[in-house]
Amino acid sequence: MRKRMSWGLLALVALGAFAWASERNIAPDALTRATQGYNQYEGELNWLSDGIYPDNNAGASAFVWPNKGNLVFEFAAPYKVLGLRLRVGADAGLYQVWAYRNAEYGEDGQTAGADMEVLADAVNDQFVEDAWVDLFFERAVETDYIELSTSQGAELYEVEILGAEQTAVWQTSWADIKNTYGPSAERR
Amino acid sequence: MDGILKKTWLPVLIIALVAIDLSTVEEVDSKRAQVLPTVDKKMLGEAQVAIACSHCIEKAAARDEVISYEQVDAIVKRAIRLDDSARNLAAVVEKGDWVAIKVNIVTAPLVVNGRKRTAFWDSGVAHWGQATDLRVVKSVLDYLVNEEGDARRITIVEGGAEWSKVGESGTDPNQTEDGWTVRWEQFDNLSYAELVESFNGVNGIEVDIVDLNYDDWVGTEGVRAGDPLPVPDPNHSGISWYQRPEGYYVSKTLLEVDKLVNIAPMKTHDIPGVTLLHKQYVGTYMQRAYGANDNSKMGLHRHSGNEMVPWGFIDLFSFRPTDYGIIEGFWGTEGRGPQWGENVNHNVVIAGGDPVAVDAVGATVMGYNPEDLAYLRLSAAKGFGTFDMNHIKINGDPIAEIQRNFKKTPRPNFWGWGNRQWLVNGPYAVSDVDEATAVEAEPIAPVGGSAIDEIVWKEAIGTERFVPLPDDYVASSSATYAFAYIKSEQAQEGTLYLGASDGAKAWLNGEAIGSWNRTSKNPDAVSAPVALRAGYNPVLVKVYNVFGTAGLSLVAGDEDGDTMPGISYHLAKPAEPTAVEETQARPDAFALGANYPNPFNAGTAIPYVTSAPGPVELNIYDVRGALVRQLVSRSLPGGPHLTHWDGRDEAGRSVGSGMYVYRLVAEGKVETAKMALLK
Repeated sequence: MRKRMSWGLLALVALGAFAWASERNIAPDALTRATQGYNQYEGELNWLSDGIYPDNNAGASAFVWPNKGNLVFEFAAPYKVLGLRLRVGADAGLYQVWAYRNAEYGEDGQTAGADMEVLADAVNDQFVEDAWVDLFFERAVETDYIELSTSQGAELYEVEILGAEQTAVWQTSWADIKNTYGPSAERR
Repeated sequence: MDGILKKTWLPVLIIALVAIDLSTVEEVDSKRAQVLPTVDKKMLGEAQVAIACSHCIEKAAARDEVISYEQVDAIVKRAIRLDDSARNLAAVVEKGDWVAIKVNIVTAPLVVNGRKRTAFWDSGVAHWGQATDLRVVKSVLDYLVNEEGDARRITIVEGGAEWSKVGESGTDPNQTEDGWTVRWEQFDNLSYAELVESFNGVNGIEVDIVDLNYDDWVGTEGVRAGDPLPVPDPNHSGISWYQRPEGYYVSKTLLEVDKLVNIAPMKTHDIPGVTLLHKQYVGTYMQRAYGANDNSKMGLHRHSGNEMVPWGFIDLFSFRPTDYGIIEGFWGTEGRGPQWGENVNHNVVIAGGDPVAVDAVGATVMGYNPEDLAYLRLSAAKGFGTFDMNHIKINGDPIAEIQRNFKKTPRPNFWGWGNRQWLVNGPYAVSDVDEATAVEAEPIAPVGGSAIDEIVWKEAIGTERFVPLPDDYVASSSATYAFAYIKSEQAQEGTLYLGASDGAKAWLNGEAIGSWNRTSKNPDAVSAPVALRAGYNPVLVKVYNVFGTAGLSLVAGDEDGDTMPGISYHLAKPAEPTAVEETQARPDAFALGANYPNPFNAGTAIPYVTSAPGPVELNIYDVRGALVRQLVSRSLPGGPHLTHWDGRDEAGRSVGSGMYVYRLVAEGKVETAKMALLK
């Protein structure tokens, strides 16, 4: 019995290690937009996925919402997503994330969809400053539409969307190419 | 074989009919949130609204200057006392009532860690006009506690969207003030916490605060349990929900209070047009009940899009309608409201017991046409009041003297209502919009069902401003004609705004007013100055379609795109004054209105008016003339009435799908109308 449990534990550890090892930031693959209507931001959307943040570049630029705002990440095809990591600045905020099915970025600049369904969500209300904030779903979900909401202020240097690889052979994504060869790679 | 066919055709037919019925019901149900109920304005009754301003108090002041609490208090009290209707504030609040005062604290002047935290500070400007002026709240509290004195408990309620309460989960631990505790500099440096402290216990009345974001929510199985509550229909209008068939979780406090006094600032808003009494029910949306960790009201937006937000806040209004409404302009917002607009000082208070009428007057004072506000139509259809300015009596300062045209939100977010019903005829093959067809050969005044070259004029009715033309009346490189009458209560000049896919030519009163080879669906794609005659003005629009679908919109508007005053749209022009028109001129005359909704399944409301007290009979018959249900058989006072039919017969059995006739007998007169029951 004990032997069987040990093997099981080992298998779990191995699976966990594989899951950890197979995480990949797919944020640069997404079409990133800020919802419109009642939030104004400062900065550029592409700073969120340029791989530049204070830990690796003192000149990193922050995308700032003075009070609140929502970011939408839309993928061309569904990915299996574990969650998000945010590199936040000095303005502590509350962060929530939702993974959707059948959602779309409506004409009015808001997330919409007649058959829209929330597959998973996560929240971080620790109000940390100058740190990485983890927003992991309870389990990985296959989604092509993720919405990140911040309130009570936000300075975002980087948003990483952690995709769980599902095949032995990794596809070369735009994220990989951009991170390896893109202008931000040169800046690093 | 013949025998088998004869035996089987009947059940097959029944199944087919049931299937058609069911699909129709499903279609009606799925589109319900998109369909605006027809509002028979003459059935909405009369209302009284009081207006007071800074000119008419002892220490008079200009309407646009910053004034003291004493002056604000004098204006608020004057408005309250001017209201001598049966629904004035003293009559509304009864002995022992628990009264909620709903205020607007959507945002607050909060600073956290030296940062100006909320949208109150957008663009570096303090937006005082986004929130209810605390001086008005203080004045109303003073009236209720020290003068009226009937209330047992008074609770100030709000669920702000832009801020969290100190000490609650999800609030920045560095935050030391919130919307309740912060002092509002321009509002006499008052805070809600201080107001409550100063009034609590005076004359034995408990005064407190309930933050609706953190209140207990109620579901179908009680406090914090079960599914959302279905949207109620307190006036038996036959309409329950507009945005959500599944309903809402609702604040326990709002469900328990006896009365709700609603105090709103004058504020422009890009979605509904203006934020007044109704719009600020967004603050009652309990976002946390649905699992969110913040107080933003995004759930209302996300559910079915920004445009459907008014549908949602009228749903919320239905759970705890406003018993008394007060609109104040001491600090208001114009232009890019709600967040980025400019502060306005307009020292006017509008008050009354009919919340629809108070909002209609408020909108008019701000330079909006209440006919353009979708949410007033939604609220009126549910029986909450009237937005017909012809039937709203003003006590106090006339609107014309205190009107101030607030700058509108930038186009095209808010626009005039427009004509949503046309008689259409086509398609005619043409190579461009100016190529004439048989329709243009002579002046036209079509009636539905008449034909040109065997093409029948038929109705095209839209639920939105842009009305799609029927597919069978549209072809590539063709023209389709749309006809209607613009009725104007007076001769006036304005602008016809036209949107059309893909080109258009228009005639008014038989004269061409413009021709455009390329247009778009935007409501102001093209426009032409026009002079409308008093009465019926025939308008003909030739929609030129290059390919694909086609449609049009038309607004008889002012320079801002609001509907001109006294405008209505009609499919037909009566040859002479009809009973209906006479009824419109004399709203208290005998009349039977159109039931709504129609078709219906759960129930329908039948509005009617009697001119004098007397016996009234209202019965339902099937199409063969058999009596199905006697709804009314008693003496009633003169005036507007509303009777609900639940689709059951005298024995309480649900009756089948089909057409039914309702018949009103009163004052020696008889009127009948038809309705359709779908199951």
